[in-house]
Amino acid sequence: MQDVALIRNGDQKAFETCFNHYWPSLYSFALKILGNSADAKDVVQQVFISIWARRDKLNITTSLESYLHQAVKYQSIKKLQEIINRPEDLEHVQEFILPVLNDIWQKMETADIFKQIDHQLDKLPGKTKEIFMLSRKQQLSISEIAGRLNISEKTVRNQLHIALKALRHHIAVAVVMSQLMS
Amino acid sequence: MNISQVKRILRNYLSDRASDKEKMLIEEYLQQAWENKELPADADIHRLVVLDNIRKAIRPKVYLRWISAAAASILILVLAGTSYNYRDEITEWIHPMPKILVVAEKFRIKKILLPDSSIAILNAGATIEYPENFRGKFRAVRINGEAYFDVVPDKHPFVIESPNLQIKVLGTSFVVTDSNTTLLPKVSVKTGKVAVAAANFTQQISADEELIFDLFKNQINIVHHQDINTDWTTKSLVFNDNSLKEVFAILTDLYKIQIRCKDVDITNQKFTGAFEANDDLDDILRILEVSYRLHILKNHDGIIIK
Repeated sequence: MQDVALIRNGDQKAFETCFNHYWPSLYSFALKILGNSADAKDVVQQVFISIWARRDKLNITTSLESYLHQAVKYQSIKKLQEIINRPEDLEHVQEFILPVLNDIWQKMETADIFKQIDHQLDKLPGKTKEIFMLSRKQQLSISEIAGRLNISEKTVRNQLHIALKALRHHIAVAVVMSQLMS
Repeated sequence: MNISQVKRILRNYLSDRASDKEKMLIEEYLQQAWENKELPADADIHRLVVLDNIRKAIRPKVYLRWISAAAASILILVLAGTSYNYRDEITEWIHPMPKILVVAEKFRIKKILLPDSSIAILNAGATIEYPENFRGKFRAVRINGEAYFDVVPDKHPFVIESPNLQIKVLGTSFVVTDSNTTLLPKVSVKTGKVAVAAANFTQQISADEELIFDLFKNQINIVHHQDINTDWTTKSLVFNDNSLKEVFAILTDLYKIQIRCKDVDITNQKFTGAFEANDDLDDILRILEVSYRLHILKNHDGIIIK
């Protein structure tokens, strides 16, 4: 908080010390988001110039570090939008930025499917769910499950059938997804 | 996902209209960037550039409004008489012109176009400092080391400050050799006339003359009919009994290309020679290849030398 007070008082030396101190993490962060040095420099530069211009009205409730981190994050997203709209950067976007976003998007979709499967499982009767879990998650055979729960193999088979029928759609999607991703 | 989808998601995110899933995508992207960020080797050079830009941007503008009207009018009366003579100094004091510093590193020859279209060529190890734009009565630059100047004629004299000398010209070409460490600073004139001044003398010399200032005896010597050596000014790299290891290192730095050579017998060999400013990397490699009977292979990630 000491730094913020000094900057608010117009202490340029303290301001530059802060810049030098936070430069490595902020610059490498913006560089990773944007993928090119000129834009990353621009973002960090803008953040600091704007802080200096508003220094007397500066209201930092958290630490200076997290304030700078937030500011660089927000300005980088704005810059990313600019880059995506720049025709000369199209190749860079397609080669370096889109694949990363796509990768995250797909992982999110997969996570979604598994969440839906769990949700469907919860709707099944307790016994059916238990048998399904033993079969799929612990990989037990039908006879092992029958032995462990002390029921007939036929019952096990029937219950599994009911469970699979309820989950059929979601599992099909998960299988397709996992094939797409491998 | 394609570009237009990403554009839409970013637009939504920035205007706070993104769905939870879109928000999650962007936040995860940022999180990954934060976790995987790495500091490039040249980050500190970029830091200096940005620091300089920030300083320029936040430099206070000087207004006289803090001076009360009375004080201001007295000041104006006092200044009126003297300020005309000192107007350039005053301007410089109120609003200094940003300076540019250029360094010619080891082995490098650097050609610089000054704001008035004059040319300065720095020999290895020399530095020059000059303003973004020339302003006022003089075109003033500061040097340390050896530099060749080709000055464009202009009514504003061109003034060079070196550690031991002050050189004033109108439009000529000449070489200045003066540094913090030399005991024999000198000025060699190729064309035109040059005025050289130091602590206790002022002397004018003309074409094919060389002025040598002996700091030890504190006297000047002028050599007439001197053949001024400016061969180095057309070069870009100059080596004098340096190991090939050093040569490869400088090429790596200059052309941003990886050069690998495992053979110590090769890298320890000494090289003396210079490359012309218009030699490209291939020319340089060919010269080295022929001189040392090397096998130079180029592939996608660099150059291998055997």
